[in-house]
Amino acid sequence: MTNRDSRIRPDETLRPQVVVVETPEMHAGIEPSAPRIIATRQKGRIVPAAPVEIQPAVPSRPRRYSLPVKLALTGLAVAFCGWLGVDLYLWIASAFEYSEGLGWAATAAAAAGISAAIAIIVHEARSYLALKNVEINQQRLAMQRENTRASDVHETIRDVIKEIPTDREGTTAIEAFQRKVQRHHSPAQQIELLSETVITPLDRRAEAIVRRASARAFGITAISPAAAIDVLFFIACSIRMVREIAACYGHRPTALATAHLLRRLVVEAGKLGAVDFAGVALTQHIGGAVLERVATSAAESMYAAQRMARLGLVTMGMCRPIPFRRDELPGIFSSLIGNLLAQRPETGKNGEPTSIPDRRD
Amino acid sequence: MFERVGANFSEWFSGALDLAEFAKGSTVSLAVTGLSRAGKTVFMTSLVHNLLSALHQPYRMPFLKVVGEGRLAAARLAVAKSDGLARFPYRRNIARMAASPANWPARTTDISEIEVDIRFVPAGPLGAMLRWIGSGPATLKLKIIDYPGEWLLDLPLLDQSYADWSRATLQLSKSGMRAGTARDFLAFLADHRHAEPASEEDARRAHELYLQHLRAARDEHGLNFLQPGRFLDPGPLGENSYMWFAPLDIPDNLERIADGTLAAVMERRFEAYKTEVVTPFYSQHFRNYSRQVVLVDVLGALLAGREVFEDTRNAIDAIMESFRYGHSGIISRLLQSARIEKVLFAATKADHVPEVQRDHLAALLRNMVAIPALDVSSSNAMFDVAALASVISTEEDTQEIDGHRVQVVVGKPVGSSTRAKFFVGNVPARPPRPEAWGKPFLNIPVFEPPVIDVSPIDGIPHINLDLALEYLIGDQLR
Repeated sequence: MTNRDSRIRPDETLRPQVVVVETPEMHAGIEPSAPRIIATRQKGRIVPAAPVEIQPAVPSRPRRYSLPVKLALTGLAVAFCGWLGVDLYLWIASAFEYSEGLGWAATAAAAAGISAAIAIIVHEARSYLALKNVEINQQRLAMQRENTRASDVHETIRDVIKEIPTDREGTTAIEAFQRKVQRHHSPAQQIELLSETVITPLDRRAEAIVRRASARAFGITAISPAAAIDVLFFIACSIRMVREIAACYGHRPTALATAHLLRRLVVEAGKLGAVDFAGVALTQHIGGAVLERVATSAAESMYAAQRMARLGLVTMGMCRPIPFRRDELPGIFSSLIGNLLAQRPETGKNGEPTSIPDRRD
Repeated sequence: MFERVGANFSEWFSGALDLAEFAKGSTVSLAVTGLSRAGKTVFMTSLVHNLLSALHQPYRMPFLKVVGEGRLAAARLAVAKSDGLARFPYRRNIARMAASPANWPARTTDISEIEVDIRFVPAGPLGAMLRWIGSGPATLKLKIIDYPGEWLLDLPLLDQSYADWSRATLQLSKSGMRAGTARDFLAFLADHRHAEPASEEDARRAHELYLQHLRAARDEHGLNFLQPGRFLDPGPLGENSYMWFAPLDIPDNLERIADGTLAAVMERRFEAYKTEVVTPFYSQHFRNYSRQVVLVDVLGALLAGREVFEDTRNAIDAIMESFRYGHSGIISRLLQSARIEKVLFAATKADHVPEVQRDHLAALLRNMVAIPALDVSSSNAMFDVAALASVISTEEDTQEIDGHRVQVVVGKPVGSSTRAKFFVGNVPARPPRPEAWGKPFLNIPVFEPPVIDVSPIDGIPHINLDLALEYLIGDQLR
């Protein structure tokens, strides 16, 4: 780049001027882009190199049962099913003994019951397996961010997108992601793009759920007359929040899936709880007298709300199809207070935000 | 005592009913197609050879999960059926590639198939349950069918009348490179108008001249969008009288072709061609091929210049119509309830491009095919794109050109005693802008295959063949 007149006087530097950009001359020799064949004196055929030995990714071994245990479990299952079958048969037979119409009615009732039981079992199993699939995807994505080719990560991304709720906002986000993502993006970039475009709106919904649950916990702890009511309400509120967060990320929160989530939640929250417990004990030890004086119901309420928010964030981490990066992890402050201070988004029919607020906290 | 009874029970249970076979055993038809010189025959040969070798040499196919996870129990060629399609000459091809001097197998002109039985241990929860009850491996019967991709160029004809097709085809024949190869044919049309009395001799002559034009356009210029596709690769049809037609110069304002004219004869044969050739292929064969791989010589099209590149893009567009059944077009009517589940567009001969530019080859094809990088919500077939080399016949090297050290590939050209280096130039990720096209380079070297063992022990070196196979049939091997 050169100036037409490089000797610009100081008083002219701020005046409008045209800067001419020199176009470099295209030398055929400098840009060797034309394809060509170059003869060599080398002889002999190409000998393929031996393939590199790749250690297969060893999946975690499922728990193995010995043959006696397998037979025992099978026996228990057979006994239970047999007991049910025989009991049903006897019940239907006795109905037939009474009258044929009653017998058929009993048969129909039994058939309806069995069909319903199968439907429930299938539904439960599907939702449970979908949830397990999320956990597998989380592990794969955590690994693939660093180690895998761009093309390999697509299968996992497809799996993730399959689970996303297909409402208007979800569909729009998926379409936006498809427009943005390019094959040359690295796995980390693709996952980041997916996280920002598709998952972040779901995070906003989940945070709204956590806020609502925290507010409930705060309110009921403040007004409840007995500690037992606090505990019961807290448990009910937690279960409701877990189910809502799971549904928000596209899972079907059936009984089996909820139980699995709660089991994991207890383990995850237990780890955090130990740290918290140490912190609380230390605080009480140092400033116990002061705390005793200010330990009012309001403080307890705050504490309950904080616990609920923490449980909510742990649940989000479990249900989120892509693991949180360190900078994506919502903090307690942002979930509890930060978003309360932020402009409240318009809410849809189910209390879900219809627009995506900017993430600035 | 208790352990023995349990083992016997388990043995009896798994023997009485092979649950793994029942639950996970299946048959999949994988069709391999592509435009001429794309490398279909070599792809099939390498695919079969590598599958048969995978048990002995699993490191050749690490990204095919059933191999990479060590779940492959066996892979063997199935016995040929007498009532099926012609058998793909795998053994003859591999013998030819392994011979000294080595050469490539003859090109595909007809439809053929080969079946490989893959025995594998199922994965996932169902697989774990099957293993838990002591069931054995399952079998996937993989039918691999090879057919010329030119046949797919005929699908758009079903929506066209003879007059429309004639007008479009003649307009194309008068432009660019085609004008040169079609000179004799166009001269014939100048002397024989559409309304002249029907003559069998004239119809036959017009067909022969048109066929010559198509052959010259394909062989001399590397053009691909040449309709009707069966003219160049008739397959089992041979010479049938209803194929003796060609486009005529039909005026735009002509509403109906008059009976007894040359155009009427051509129109009748055109319609018969659609009914007797195009429709049966889709209804009897194509609809059964749930997984398909379409091979495209992207590099050849790119180096041959803008016109060939655009022509290849048109051909791919026409081929894509066969997989876009989501918008209930003619393909939906032909396929009825059948669905093509997965289609992989593969840019072949990736070994002619240095490793640093291979991703560009796939990206360029993606741009040509015009599909999003990650299509998840389409009602059409699932598409993906890859760059692959069925056989690696080159090595990476560098060369100083005009003072610059550049990446090249080196191989031994067929018939030559010494190796040659091939500098491919810049492979762009997007189609070049009109002003960026260079001089056509048609002299792409054909390198000899590498040293290959004819026995299915060590496999054949390849690029991304395992990834392609994982995409196409990986779900059936879980």
